[in-house]
Amino acid sequence: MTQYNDIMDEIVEIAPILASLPKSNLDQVPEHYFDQVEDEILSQLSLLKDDNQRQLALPADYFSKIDEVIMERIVDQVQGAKIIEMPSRKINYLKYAAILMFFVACLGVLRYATPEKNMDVASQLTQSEVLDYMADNAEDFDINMLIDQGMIDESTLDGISYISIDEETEYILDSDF
Amino acid sequence: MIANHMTYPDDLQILELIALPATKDAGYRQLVSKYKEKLYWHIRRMVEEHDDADDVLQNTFIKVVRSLNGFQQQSSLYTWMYRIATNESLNFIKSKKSKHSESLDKGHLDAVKDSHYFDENSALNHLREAINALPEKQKLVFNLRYYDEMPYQDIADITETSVGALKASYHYAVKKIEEHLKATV
Repeated sequence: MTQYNDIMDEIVEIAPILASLPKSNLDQVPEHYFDQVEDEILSQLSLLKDDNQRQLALPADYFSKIDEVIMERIVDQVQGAKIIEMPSRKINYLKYAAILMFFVACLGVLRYATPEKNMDVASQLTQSEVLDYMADNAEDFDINMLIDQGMIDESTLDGISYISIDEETEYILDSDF
Repeated sequence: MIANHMTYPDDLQILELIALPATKDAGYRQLVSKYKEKLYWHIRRMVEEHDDADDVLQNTFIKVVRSLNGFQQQSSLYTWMYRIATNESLNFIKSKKSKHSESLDKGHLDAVKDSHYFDENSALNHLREAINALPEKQKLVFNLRYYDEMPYQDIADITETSVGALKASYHYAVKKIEEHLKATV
């Protein structure tokens, strides 16, 4: 039994109306369509083939010469290569560490050198301690300046021995300056 | 089967022609000449409009030729080509549906009826309506079995479905079409 008969037997059994209809294409195509479409497809395939040939075309003896060309290029690259010495990473790390240390030190100096900090330390000293310190370390120029600025009372200096301007001048002349 | 009755070399001979550079063009010509009408009608039944079928047919042949190197001959050439045509058609329908959400519905059928190439035979129009109302898979199986008169095994190769599932699908499709024809003819 042919495939067609098999199919029609199936249909007659379950779909008699469908089986009674003529089996023809429901649609039509333009006249000469199948001739034209064949030419159209073949011309597209020809373009496709040209593209493939263009993409795959190779010069004559390409594969017999290519290994030599590659070797020559490799040799040129190796001989012409310029050796550049790269800086050591260890030195870079030391540089960064030094910069970091410098910033930490600056922060420390700024923290302890602020006027507020100095004022705090000064406020903890007694007047007599200040005067004793000045007696040992201050010169009359400094004391005069403090008096001029109104920072100390001249009367509190009674009994403090300090060198005079003349003594200071004499000291400087005698020294190695 | 609806096809022309010219004599063509068998598929193996066509493949041998294509494999040789000297006969490649002749092989392509034989391939296109042998399958253009079968594939056209297969595609046309799926995409419905002639211009769309024309585009899909040309794309199908280009894809076939581009993929011929990868054709493993595990299936026959014609089922392999039908599978490509089916996939191209389904992709086309999908992209068209996403562009025009109302395509392929009743409004679309009216547009087909208005087209120049529409056959006015009323019983066949009802048959067309019934086929177009089927789900895509049932429609594909029905067309391949009813119009292309393919054995179930070949349809299974094309649709990558089991023969049992295909038989059930075809049976449901025929029953639905019959119901539609009973109600309208």
